[in-house]
Amino acid sequence: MAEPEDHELARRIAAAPGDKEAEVEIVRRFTPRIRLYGLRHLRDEQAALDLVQEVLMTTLVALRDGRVKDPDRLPSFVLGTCRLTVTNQRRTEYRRIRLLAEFGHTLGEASCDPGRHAALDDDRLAQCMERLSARERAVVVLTFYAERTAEEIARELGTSRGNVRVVRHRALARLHECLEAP
Amino acid sequence: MSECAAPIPLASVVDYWLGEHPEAGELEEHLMACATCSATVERLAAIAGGVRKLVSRGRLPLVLTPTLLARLEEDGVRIRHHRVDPGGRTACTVGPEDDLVSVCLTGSFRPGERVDVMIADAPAVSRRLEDVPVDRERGQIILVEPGSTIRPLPAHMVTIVVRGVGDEGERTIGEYTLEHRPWADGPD
Repeated sequence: MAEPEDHELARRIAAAPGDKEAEVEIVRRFTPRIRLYGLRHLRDEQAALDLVQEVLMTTLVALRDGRVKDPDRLPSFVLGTCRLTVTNQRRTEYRRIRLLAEFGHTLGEASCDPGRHAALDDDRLAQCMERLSARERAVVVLTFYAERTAEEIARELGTSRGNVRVVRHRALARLHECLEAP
Repeated sequence: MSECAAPIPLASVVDYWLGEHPEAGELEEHLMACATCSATVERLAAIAGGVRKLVSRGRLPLVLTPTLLARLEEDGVRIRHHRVDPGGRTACTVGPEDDLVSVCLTGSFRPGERVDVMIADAPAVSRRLEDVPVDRERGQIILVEPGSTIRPLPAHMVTIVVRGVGDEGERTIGEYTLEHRPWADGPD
């Protein structure tokens, strides 16, 4: 049987706020996506996980209350909530604790490890990195370890920004391919 | 759930993740709605985290820039340094606590010239690293090997030849000899 679309789940929750199954499914689907948004903008795993919790609770409350006006655009609602939450630094601990008390069970029931797809085998990654050329490896390390932009890497390696981007894309495509290989 | 009709190319995902995509807002709309594409971002995020972990634990052989070498030391990675000039030789070893061993090869590098490094661990087969990063300003190449790779090795000689490859063909920039001794035989 085909899995329900996001908007179908949203409508179910709005129609019957006690629909645990639909809420758990929403949590399962959006947890990894919100975490990635958090990692991308906050660059911190714990902060990203806090964001997941905050955004999911806000979303579930809004769905239950029928405040998501267009369920077809649920992902946009979640994204807007992510943006607002990251920008808004005025969260209070009291509200978090209160919502946790209300939704903690649901979040736990989804038993969704937000990083479940993210686990990489260190040895495998090391092998794949060693298959890259010395220059590709240096660019990948400067990118992810030193967090340098293409412009900065270009200056450091005495090359052009365009060349760094080409090397970087080629290296990451090769890493993806190597990691996906059986 | 529907399959993604227009998956985001990996190149765009990389640009997005690194904050270099001009239309990041639109991409985020798609990512929040799409399990397929968010899985691609998730894989990239995992690679980024994995690379950070491997580097900080001294698990990767690298050819580095001086600033990255300095950054590693600032981050607490323990590095044993060696330096050799063209035609020179140096005794080298790795201590029990060293995460990485670095060898700085000095030389005169021409602008625009590709630089290859050939490493011969006698009597093992040699390997050639093509187009390595070079610090032309300081005239040096920095090779880094994990301490864990070198620690079990017996005393032996390593010969390194650095070659420049340009429009006029190949030339030798320098030959370098490392005399490796295990730590148990005493530090260098």
